[in-house]
Amino acid sequence: MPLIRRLLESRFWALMLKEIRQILKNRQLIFLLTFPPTVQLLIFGLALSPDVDHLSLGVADYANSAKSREFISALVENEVFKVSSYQTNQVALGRQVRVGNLTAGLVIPPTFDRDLNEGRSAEVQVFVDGVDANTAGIASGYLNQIANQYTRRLNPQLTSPPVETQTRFLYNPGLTSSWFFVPGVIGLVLTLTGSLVSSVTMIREKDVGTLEQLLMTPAAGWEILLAKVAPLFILLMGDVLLASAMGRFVFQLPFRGNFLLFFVLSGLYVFVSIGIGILLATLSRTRQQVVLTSFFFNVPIIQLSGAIAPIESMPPFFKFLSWFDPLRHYVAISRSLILKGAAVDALIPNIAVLFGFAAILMLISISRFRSQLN
Amino acid sequence: MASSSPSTGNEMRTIHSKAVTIQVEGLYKHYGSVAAVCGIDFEVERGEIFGLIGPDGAGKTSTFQILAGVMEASAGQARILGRPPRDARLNLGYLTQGFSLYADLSILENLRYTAGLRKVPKADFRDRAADLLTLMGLEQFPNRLARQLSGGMKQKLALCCALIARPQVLLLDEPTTGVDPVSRREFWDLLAGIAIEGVTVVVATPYLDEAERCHRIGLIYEGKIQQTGTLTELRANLGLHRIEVRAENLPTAEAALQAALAPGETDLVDLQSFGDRLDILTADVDTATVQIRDILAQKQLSLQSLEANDPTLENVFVNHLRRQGADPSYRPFPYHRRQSRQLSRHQDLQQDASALPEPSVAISADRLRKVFGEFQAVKDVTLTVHYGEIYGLLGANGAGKTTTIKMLCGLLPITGGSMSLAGETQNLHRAEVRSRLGYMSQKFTLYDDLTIRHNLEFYCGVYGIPRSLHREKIEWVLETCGLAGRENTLTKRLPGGWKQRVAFGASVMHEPDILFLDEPTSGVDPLARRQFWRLIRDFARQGTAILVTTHYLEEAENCNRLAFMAAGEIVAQGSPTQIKASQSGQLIELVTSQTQTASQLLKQQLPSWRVSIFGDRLHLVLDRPEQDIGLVIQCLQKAQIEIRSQRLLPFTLEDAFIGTIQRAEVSP
Amino acid sequence: MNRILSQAQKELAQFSRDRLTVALALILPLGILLIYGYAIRLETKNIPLAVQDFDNSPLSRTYVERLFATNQFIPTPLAGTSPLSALDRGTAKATVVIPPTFSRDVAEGSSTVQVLVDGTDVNNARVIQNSIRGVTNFFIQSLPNISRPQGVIPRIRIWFNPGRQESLYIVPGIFGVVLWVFPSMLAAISVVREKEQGTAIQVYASDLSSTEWLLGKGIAYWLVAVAEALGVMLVSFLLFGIRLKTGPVPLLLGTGIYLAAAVSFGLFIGARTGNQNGAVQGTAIAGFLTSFLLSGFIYRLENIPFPLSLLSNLVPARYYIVLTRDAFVRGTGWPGVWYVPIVVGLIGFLLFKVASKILQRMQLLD
Repeated sequence: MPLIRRLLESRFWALMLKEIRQILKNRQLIFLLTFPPTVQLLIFGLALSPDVDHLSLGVADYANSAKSREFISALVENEVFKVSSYQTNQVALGRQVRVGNLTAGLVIPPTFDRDLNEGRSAEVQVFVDGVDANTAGIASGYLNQIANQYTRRLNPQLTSPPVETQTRFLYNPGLTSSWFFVPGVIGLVLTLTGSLVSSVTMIREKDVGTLEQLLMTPAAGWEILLAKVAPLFILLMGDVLLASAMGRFVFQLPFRGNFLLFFVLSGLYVFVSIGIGILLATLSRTRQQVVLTSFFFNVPIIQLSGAIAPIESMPPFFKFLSWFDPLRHYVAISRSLILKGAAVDALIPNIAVLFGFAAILMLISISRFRSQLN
Repeated sequence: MASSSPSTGNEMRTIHSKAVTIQVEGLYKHYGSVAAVCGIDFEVERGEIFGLIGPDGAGKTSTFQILAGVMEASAGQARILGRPPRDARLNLGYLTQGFSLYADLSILENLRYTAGLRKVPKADFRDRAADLLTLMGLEQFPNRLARQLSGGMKQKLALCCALIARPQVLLLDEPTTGVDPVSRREFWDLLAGIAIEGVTVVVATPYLDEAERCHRIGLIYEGKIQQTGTLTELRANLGLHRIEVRAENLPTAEAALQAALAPGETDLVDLQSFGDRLDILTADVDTATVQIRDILAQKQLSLQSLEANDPTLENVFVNHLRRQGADPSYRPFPYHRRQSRQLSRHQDLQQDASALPEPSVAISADRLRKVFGEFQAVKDVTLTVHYGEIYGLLGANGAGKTTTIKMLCGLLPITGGSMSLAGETQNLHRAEVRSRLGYMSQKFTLYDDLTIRHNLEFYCGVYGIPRSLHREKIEWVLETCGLAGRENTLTKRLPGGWKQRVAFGASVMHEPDILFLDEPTSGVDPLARRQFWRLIRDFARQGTAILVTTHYLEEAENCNRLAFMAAGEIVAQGSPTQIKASQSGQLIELVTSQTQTASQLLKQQLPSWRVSIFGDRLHLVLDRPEQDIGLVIQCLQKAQIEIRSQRLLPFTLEDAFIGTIQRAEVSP
Repeated sequence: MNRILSQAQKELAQFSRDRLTVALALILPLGILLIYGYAIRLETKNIPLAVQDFDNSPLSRTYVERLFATNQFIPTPLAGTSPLSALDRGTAKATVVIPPTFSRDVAEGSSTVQVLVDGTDVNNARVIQNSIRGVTNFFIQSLPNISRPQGVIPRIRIWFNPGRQESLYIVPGIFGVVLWVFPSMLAAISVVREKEQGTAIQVYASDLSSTEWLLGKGIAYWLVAVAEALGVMLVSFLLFGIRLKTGPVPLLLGTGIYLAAAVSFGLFIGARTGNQNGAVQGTAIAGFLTSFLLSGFIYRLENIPFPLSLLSNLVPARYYIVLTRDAFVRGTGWPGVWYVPIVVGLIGFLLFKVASKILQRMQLLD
């Protein structure tokens, strides 16, 4: 009891109570904590999909025979392609690809049947729209494979090729794209929400002028900061739960690792994102500046993290930079724990880096806190 | 003396054509369930300066916005030049609070843009702009950006913008707030000139002293116009006179006279305490003088001086509101810490009887300097504030008051010089030091999004007031502010003046030894301001050292000692009476047949700051009145201007401030 | 007209003096261009691949050499005995397991190589699968005494971007994002700032109409946006080797209209919002999310599922990106993009109309 009495009498409790009351009154903050994360998770999770299927294919079939139709149906069999137009001549087909109506055009020569019947190889022409280089690459890979399979079907004497690859997709056997994006987007959402919410609460005090008053009270800088951070931390942990629940129930993520561990490490990252927000707030004078500077910081943090585009394919310099991106480490952790079910030891380097970030950001914030009025 | 002038006021108006340019009938404005304007009626004639005087939240700005055609009235009507305001917009000049200039545009660009908006022909623009800029004294730097201008220059530029389209009606919403007294004087002189040319001017101001310069005044309070009339009419309606009393041991004298205020006891009606004098209102000067002398004699207090004077506009305002029962209740502060400390101090004194009760120093600064980049914000400020003293820091916005106060309370590091606070010179951040300080900054220091009670609870907690005392302290603040029962209102719903009072309460709950108040009374209505000062005095009497800044020169009279700051320097220091007494020369009021012409003539003879127009009167500052007045009379007679009356006036602090600054500018 | 122009002139003067805004207008778009231009690469190269070769015969070694012959894969150690450990640690994206009987099986007819792929990154996984199959086919062809079966040989030609340079795809897409977000943000701030600082009252107090006011601002920020567009395109020309493939008319006209629509969007947000914070957040979040995610900037529009796909039809960036990709990559010209200026212009016009309707009274609201 005396301990509780002492807590209730303490400055820290007064500061904390004030923050909690402010948060409860602040509908905008509650909105910021719930609405954007939900929308971001949904849009990122649903709209970003690298799936390459149902590519529109145009056909100019000069052979127009049973064999050629068989080949076309082999192409559309596994739904990578869908035939969306038949053209009578190659020029018209070319125009369709040029205008962008078709992703690929297939021209089957009149000699198709004769070549095959006479034991020669039949060449078909395919032109692929290369504007989207990635899709074009994958599409031509598929085309080659399908042609190979068709060839094998034509030659029943070939039972199997001398070397066959048997591919097993680990962690995400169905190759569901949201499984890739959502764990990264959870990190992205925590970065955006955490830094925005904490910088806005910090800057508000400066903007309105109450910070001056607060600095004149006997409360120490760290007390003020801690009292501000603690309730935000709890609320952002609520965001972690919200995001995890959406991941589990909307996107059916497997959560193979230890959820408690995921939760704790997410807490560590929430600290980092709050630290980024406070740093932004101490760097800026007004709310408008905070929003702008956060734009300046958050875009690279997100882009270099691998949450959206893979890190391996970045140029070496950017790959190097990404090591200094806390989000990169959190995304690695969340993908490991959600999809792979990895043990802690595999994650130790990432955890260490996050600890480093949290410590450095908090130290800078505390040391800048008092001097920021100048 | 008060009866000599109402007739001149009426004559004044008959000189102009009787055309009514602004007509307001039964005007209402509601914001949701809040009524800002509740049935206003008034008329303003061509060429008249009509002052709309009232505290923050009284409905002034809403009225202006309706008159300017930028907001719809909820009910009633306003007609300008016989048309609805929206259709008269191009004939209006509207100067908003804060001037609404484009900070990133130069003087000329601002002017050109407004001219474009108001359809000023391109051919006319050049000449008009040149004329206006010369008139306002801005012609030397047409390309300077608006944000680089001082408050006074911004105000003049805004006036230029309002005048560029040659409007017939000028609406000025608090044009002088935050502007230094010198610029304010000049501004009013310009206004007088504009009105003479037939422009109708409606002006709002929170400064009651400068409102005396309007032709007619409307007192607005809680959305209603309470009274209208010329200054002399208003004074006559009040029917009271003001007596300034200076005596030894003012607190005792105040207590004695306060007791005599009870109805039926004496002829004294009202008492107001200032830093070094008491003001008493009475209907009958002669009887009251005798009564005051008697009362003081009974208490064996020696009287230093007793002076009868005109009541001020503030007296009119306050007494009018008092009759409406708007007086906030006064309740003594529940001291706890202080009592125990005083006891121990008392014991100390008894033990060491030989020690003189010399007040000890709370704040001292020696040649304090602050430099921001290349800008010297504060130059060599030296001052001392003792426990139990109210020390005022006066000056315009940007004079360095706030920077000084922030350095003294340890918020800003000092660039040079030395200072001590509560006996400490270093480590001012320590919790032990801070808990002895109270601070109320210029901006609102409460959390807008918390209720009043939550705000107060927070400050109780953060200053470590024992929980058992929270209730009592919070109730004191609520009752003093007249907010009992409304403690669960969100702070942002309070008008500015009320917030200030709660913020003051929040900053003193822990009974600080040293209290810093940065512009505590801006936007507070005169009644509440009086209560404010009463509380501040109470704290001082309990031994708290109080450092207060203000730009209301009239209320600086409440300080025991004060310093004028200009451009980062202290230009004068002393008690209000000392400062006024140190002014050389005399202030003379003239009533003439042609105020404006007379002013222009005299300004050719004398430095322009020595001549100013107050409504239908002229104020002259003459260093050698005996010789100079002859010259003035000669000069006016030559121009066939009749002098209707002439009398000596005591200097106000504003006169002293302007004199000090103007003389300082001439001498170096 | 005079008043509109003087409004525009004033906006430009104001803009040029506000250093923060100038920086925002010029540096941020370039920064984003650089980051996206360099850091978004969908096609994976240098994929860390681990090989567990139980056979360790000349044949299996040749196979492994083949795997690393292109820059698609880089070798990485197994990190343990299990083929899974490197994947679990994330040091390898795929492991190829060659059985001990590999060379014997090949000689006898058929052998199976197991490929374990980290399926986390779906796109990556598919690329890995395809390329290992490709390499394997190539390896088979090179084996002696293999009778090449007769069949269909597709001759694939990749049009417009034969080298499959990804910057050609990404960079014109960035134009769509950057040239939407920043012009609209600037325009929104300029409206809201006048409301916030009270200068709007001076405008209300004159008889300027809301259309004139917004048009004046719009023209000014449209000019700023044009400068941004030129800057962004010039930098892309220099750094990313972007070249025009058609006549410049569709690009110029389309960009002009797109920028006008972006500015109208900003004016609309500005007219609706009361404070700068809201304006910046509104344009940043609404503008950025939609033009980034619902425009086909990174992945194919067809992949967006049903309710969102409707929304994406309203996103002007989606149309504009078709136009920039045509101008810089495809080179078809009007036949492929004729509808773009019409749709974008229509959206912009509607946004402007709504904005001027909101401010129609030119009065303070209660």
